[in-house]
Amino acid sequence: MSKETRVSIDKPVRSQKKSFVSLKWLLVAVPLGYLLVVFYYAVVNIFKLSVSNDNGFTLEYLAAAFTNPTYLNVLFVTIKTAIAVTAVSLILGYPIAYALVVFRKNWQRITLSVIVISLWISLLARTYSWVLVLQKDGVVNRLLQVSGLRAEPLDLLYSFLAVVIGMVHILIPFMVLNIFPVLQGIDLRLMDAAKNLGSTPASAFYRVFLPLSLPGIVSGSVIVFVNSLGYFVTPALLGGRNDMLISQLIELNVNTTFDWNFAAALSVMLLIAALCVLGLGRLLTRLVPSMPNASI
Amino acid sequence: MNKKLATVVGVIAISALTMSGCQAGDSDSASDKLVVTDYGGASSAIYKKYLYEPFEEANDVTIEVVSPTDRGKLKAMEETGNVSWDVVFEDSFWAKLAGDQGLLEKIDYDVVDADDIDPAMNSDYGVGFQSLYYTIASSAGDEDRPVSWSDFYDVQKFPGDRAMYKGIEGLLESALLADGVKKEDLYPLDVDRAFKKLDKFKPDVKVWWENGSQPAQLLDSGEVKYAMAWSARIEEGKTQGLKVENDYTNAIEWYNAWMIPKGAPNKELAMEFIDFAVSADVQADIFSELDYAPANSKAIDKLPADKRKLFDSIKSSGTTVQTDVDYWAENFDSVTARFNEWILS
Repeated sequence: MSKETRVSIDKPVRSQKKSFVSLKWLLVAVPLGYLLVVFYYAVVNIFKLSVSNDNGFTLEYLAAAFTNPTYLNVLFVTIKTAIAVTAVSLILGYPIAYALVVFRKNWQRITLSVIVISLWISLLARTYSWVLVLQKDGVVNRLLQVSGLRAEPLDLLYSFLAVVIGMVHILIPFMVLNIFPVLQGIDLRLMDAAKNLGSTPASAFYRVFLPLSLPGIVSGSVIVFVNSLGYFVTPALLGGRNDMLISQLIELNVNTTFDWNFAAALSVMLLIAALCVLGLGRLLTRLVPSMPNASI
Repeated sequence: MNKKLATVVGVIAISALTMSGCQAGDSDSASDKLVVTDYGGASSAIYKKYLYEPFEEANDVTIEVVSPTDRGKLKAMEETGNVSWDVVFEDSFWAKLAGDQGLLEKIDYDVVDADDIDPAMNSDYGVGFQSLYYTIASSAGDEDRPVSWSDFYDVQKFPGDRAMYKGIEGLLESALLADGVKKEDLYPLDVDRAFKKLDKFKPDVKVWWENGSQPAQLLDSGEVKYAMAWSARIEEGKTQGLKVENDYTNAIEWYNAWMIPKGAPNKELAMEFIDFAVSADVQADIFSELDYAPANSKAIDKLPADKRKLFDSIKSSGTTVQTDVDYWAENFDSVTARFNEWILS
């Protein structure tokens, strides 16, 4: 499949008139210029804000962010939440993506549209619906009580569990949509070949199919992880007192106490943490021999 | 080569044109447009009916509503010098705080008639518009329920989970009142004492709510037993059929105000808008539908009987705690920073 597409793209480009080909750099220059202005310029300014105030250069904000145990704990909770959400999305999303590949065309289309349509529903509405499901007299607790499994309602809402459930619900489409095309590109006959050579179905999956699907797993995980790091509304509505993520803390400093220097320092802290985790992920994928190198 | 250059120039020219187009549009219509911010939701719809639309008609202007008010955005506008808001709706104390930081225009009290407004709500930079009350809310039907803050903080006497607003507004006052401080002696707040009281209370607070609609929902679903809530949102819940009750005894009164950003495009008209908004007739119209209290004392007499009774009884009960705008303007940032750390520890 990938071979076919490559051929069909390359051919017409090569046969184009020369003047058009020489303008190809515009394709890169325009988005790059856009990013330079609206993204990198802003990031640089945030850096500046975190290390300077009216009196000039200072490290007091970064020092406060990196030494205060309360804020370090918020960073820890943020990364813990992001890892949990990524792991659960992967465990639940991979089988869905696999099923999509195996499904017949019609079912594939229906399942895919269900996944995509869920992205159209407002994040706020989806988060609030979890409040209704998880609250004390919500669906889950009523089922537990009616079925006689529990007499007292469980405290599900306003907890780490509720935050993870809510965020997985919102982010899992990104996982599925990243894994699915990769799985679709895997030649299923390879599995037959492995079995033909004496492999059990399970080991054919682990030794042939799974390694080939790694690029999808990595790109899906990276997108879900990075998105989780910046989550805001869902943890605010579903989490308890200690489930505050760093973006909520940044917002407090921007909008409530007006301490923009400190908010910038927290942003820098988040950026550094995110880069560290991504670097770690890249290192790990390098260790896997079958991993194509252009994944992150 | 020439073609290439032409394309590049074209791209730049088009993007420059679109950019300048936006700005031109903004400044051209400044003379007949007023940009107003409010908190949105049900109250914004009521303001539209009784405040924005009548003002539009009387002055032949268009009012554009931006909601919710975003303090960070206002600061960003002031720093970049690109101010597009004319009138801003915020807390009274914040008008003083932001005004002292140079973010707001001074109110021209020759234009704005504030004679009938409690001076405690006004400052050089903001005109009091409405009061909201932090009340003790509980699920309906309970005969015996807390009516004082010391009862509310006493989980032995009134067992059950609590919900509190996740912010220092009203919270520190409630803790000190619960700890036995008389309301006359509240200010300046003994912050250490308040946090000491809150330390003991923290394990019993199940939910720190951030959205005004949460308390009614939390009480109705049995998630918590008692909540510190914004009075009007509980009244709103009642009309929606939720089983909730509000008690105005010992209510903590918090003020909202209108203010004008420094360098607002339409400053004169903004001043007239504020005068209009706090006038008795307009206030009477608004607050016969909205469950907050009007700032203009003459407006109360013009309210329908049931509303008038409610606000009269709140005022005459003598238990209402008036918050100190000057204190909060001075201490909000430092106490909030402390609260944010406290709540995470």
